[in-house]
Amino acid sequence: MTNKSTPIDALKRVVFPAGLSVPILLGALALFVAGCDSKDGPRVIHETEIKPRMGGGGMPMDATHGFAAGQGGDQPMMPSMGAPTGSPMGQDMGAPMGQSMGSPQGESPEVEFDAPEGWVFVPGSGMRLATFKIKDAEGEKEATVVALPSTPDAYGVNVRRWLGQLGMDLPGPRLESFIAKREAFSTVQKISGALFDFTQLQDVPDKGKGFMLAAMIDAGGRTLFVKLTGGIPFLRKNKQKFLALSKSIRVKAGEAPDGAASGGEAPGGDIQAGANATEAPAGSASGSPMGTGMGQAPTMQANDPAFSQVPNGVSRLTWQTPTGWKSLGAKGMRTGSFAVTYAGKTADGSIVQLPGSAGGVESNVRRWMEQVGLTQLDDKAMRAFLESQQRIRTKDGFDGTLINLAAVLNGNLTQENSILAVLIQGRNETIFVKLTGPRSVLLRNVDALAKLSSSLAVAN
Amino acid sequence: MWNSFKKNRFVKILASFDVTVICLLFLMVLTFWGTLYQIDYGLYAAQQKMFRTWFFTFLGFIPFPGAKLVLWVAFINLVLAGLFKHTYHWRKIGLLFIHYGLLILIVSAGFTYHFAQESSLTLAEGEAANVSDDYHEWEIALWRQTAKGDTVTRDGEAVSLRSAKPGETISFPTFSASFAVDQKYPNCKAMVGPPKTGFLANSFNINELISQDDASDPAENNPGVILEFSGKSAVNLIGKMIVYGGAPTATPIEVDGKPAFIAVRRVKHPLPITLQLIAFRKTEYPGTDKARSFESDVALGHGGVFKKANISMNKPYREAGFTFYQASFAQSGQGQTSTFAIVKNYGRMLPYICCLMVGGGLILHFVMRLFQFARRKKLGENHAA
Repeated sequence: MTNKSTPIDALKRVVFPAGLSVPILLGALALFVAGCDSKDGPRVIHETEIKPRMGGGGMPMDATHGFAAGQGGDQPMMPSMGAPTGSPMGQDMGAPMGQSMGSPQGESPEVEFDAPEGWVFVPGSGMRLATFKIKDAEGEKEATVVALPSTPDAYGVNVRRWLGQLGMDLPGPRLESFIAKREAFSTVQKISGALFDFTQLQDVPDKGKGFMLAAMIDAGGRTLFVKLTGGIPFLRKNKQKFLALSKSIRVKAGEAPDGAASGGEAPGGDIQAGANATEAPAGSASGSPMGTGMGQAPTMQANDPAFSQVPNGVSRLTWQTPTGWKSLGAKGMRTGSFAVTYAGKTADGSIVQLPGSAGGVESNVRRWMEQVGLTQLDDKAMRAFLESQQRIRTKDGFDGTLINLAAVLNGNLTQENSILAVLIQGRNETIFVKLTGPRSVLLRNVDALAKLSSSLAVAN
Repeated sequence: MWNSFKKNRFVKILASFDVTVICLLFLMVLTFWGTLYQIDYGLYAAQQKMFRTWFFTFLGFIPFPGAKLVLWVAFINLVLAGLFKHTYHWRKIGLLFIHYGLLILIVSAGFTYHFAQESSLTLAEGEAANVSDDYHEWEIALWRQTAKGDTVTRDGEAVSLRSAKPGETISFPTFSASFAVDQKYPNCKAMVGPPKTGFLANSFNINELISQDDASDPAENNPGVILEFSGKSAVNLIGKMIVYGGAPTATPIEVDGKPAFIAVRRVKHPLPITLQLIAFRKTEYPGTDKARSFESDVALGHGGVFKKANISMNKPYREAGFTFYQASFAQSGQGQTSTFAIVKNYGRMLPYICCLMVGGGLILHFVMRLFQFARRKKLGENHAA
């Protein structure tokens, strides 16, 4: 290379063509300086701010979740679905219960009930099946009947939510004790229900938001919630009527879940390790324990009750249990169960198979978001969220999506428990591989869940 | 032509390395001086007096070049030196790295000066926003808002207060609304009382604005305007209205028969995310109330999905050309607020690149010189032998 080289000289000739050197340089500088202060027509505003109520300590559940605390607190924003006064409700109100897992969110079961004397029935809409107006010395109160998808740890999630609505906070042992003290009852259809009487908590510091009676009745993949809020004297006076209303609820003939008593029941007081009844179709029964120790690959047996009782039949699966996961075998409708522990906390893992599409990814994600107290996303955000989720492929080539709700905080900035789930669309079935429990455990096990899901294979 | 330009005496002077050295000396003095100056007069005043100016005087009459002038001269000098003075040979690669590193550093300074956007956002725990407040620029904003739960969405238009001149009409085409600016106060204080004759009520019962001198830091100014409505546009009002930048709430008005709000407020800059403050934490030096560190747990919303992050004093969060710094905080009986300084600067990586180039160039140059020296020494010894 010589001093009078070459590419640089060529570049100089391009940048500074003859006679234009100084004007180009000065012109560029002038443009740079002049272009910096351009102004200024009206600017379009589109701003969003969240201003929670003072003392809320985060986004209040009732508002940001589409819940209205105290009245219709369980009612998400859904299309209107009216019900005729005093008569069996609704004519086109939802999917058959036996297929509840596959029914999209927003469909409600058809139910009947007997209105207690003096309670004025008001037709509901959306997921609220009915409202009852009750006049009292405290003023007009409302009891509501709402249908929502079942949750795997239904008691824990809902009792916590209700406590939040009442402005109460219970330490863990007390919460478990309160849940354990629920009053069990059976409806006229012998469907099991649980009544939570929050007036028991009159010693707990509250924020003057009153107390609550709440009943949960499992109806297959849906849970019916009956709720009444008010002062202690009002609730005590109306408790028997409330219980009578709850017991009178009848899921329309032909839709009551077979063996309904088992569906949706969470282990008493255990808010982290609920049975995965959400994905369990009606007719579930306990299967014999399956699976073996860590790292082993249990295989479903063709004659296993859990397999044989799945409607329409699903495939037999094998999988590789991740290191560190404790296999607990098959339980109820679960093909496999796991205990996953990290830093003294345990998450509940499960594999559940359902025939058909099981409602699709989005409706299940929306349901899970509701379960863990996350604000529902609008359609655009949901699309973006789903697109951002990890994809997996099973050994047999079936595609799945790993939904990581543990990394999401919408509307629940302090969420402790969350859900990791892989939905795999298999041949004529949907396979759910789920991990439910403390976020810290879940976030540590995203890869493990993905590996387990990828290892799934239909047994020959 | 190229050669005649190259031989031009003025170009030769401008391209000389002497000018480079003089510029670097001026910059060193300005930096040192400005650092001392800002102790008494504040950062903004120091920037305005010494850096964002062509010239300034000290002792009342002695002129001194401002950093703006020095940097422009240095830029031109480095460009011309790069074109006419440097020898593009591999032996000079170290010097070339240093040269172009300095040049890019000056370009990045200009880029940051002209295009970087600085703003702040103060949030109480639980609050969220997808816009931040400019430190110095204000606007007259007209909007409608919808509330869903605790989420407030505002849609409307804003006109820069700087461009709003007394006697002129400002327009908001989206609303088919226009009104005149009767008076403008860059910095003022507000008096509260019943509206004076001909004045419409405002949100904070302000009935008079009293002009004040600009604060030493313009961020502390509170501007205000008196608007005059003629009833001829979509704003069906007749009379004057005081709109004060320091008012805590916007003034509700009707536009086209529907509720809307008007305010003088700091210019809002859209952010690429929605920032929500989960919790703020401060730790203090033992036995004092002096903050040792403070940090914020935040939720960052992307397209409606919020994820957790932490922003602390020396650990900003960066995304899409924006940097979110933990700037300050406030604690009161009502709770805690955390303030984030937000800088949008697409050229923020340039100084790092320049430093790498200059550092690498220095090392390269000295290593090469070392080898050259060793070789010459060896040749000299051989020759002597």
